[in-house]
Amino acid sequence: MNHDAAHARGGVWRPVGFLLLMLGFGLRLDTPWQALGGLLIFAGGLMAGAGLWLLVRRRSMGDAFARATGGE
Amino acid sequence: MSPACRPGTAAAAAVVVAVAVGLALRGLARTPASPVVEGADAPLIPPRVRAWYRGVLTPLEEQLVLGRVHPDALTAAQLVVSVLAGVAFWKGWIFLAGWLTILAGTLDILDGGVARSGGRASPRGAFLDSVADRCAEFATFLGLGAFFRGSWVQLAVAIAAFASLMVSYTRARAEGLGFALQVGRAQRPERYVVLGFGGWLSGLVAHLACPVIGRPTHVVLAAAVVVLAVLSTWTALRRAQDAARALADRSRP
Repeated sequence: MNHDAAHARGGVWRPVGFLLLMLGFGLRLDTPWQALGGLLIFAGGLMAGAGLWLLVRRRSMGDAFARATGGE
Repeated sequence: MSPACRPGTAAAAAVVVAVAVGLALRGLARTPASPVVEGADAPLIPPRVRAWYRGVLTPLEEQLVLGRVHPDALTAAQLVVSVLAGVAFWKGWIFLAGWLTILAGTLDILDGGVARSGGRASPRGAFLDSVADRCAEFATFLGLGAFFRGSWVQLAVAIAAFASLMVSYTRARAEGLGFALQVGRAQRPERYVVLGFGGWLSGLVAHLACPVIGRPTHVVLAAAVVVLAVLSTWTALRRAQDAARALADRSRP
């Protein structure tokens, strides 16, 4: 997988996932649209989780790369 | 008013927010420190926080530029989201309204960023953005005023709305006369943050405290509106004073 592309995807998924999560919670808390709120929470959770996973993976690979070249 | 007390959902939302705040603090610690403007006229949001938030939005901005999304579309989206925030305030959906206000502020940052990165920045775009910003602010304040109808907070909403428009007007007028005015604690991003986070937090607190108090209460939002009214008035007055002083200096022989 292209790591730059994966990083870019993670960078987009995290904020968009959080946006969907909060919209979902907003709908669940304040409005009668409970099902739509639940759906947005599910979708947002998946997106934000995937974005965070890509971030953690990139950081661990970055550390490995830094160690292999002697770091800065 | 909110249809029901939902402390369980509010607690789940609070956990997600706490995780997000933890990650944000980690990101903030990694952001290089920017020169800090100090004094009574320094913006409420420090440059480091602004730089961090821009960094969070950069991948999104790059994707929007790659997808050839026109900045005007983002400006229009910001206006629509602000109107929805106003409707949500009016309906008493305070958590949702606060979050939509933050989203509108984010779209306001993104439209300028996409215009610059995509080489589409133009005086026409800047003008449309400013006009849309004023309409967006008015829509949000209108909803907020409707929510607080019959309460003393409605007066604070009116003052905050007037002062926010004056902050922008004094800057635009001064720029028309050849001065750059960017001082003030409550500039546009600060106004979004105070109102957005005020609503967001107020919604959470209302649902969490609901079982104890017996009904949703929005003291936090009222406090945020008062803070916004005071800060915006202070900023408008300081800008007017600075412009008047600079004009007097210029006309002196």
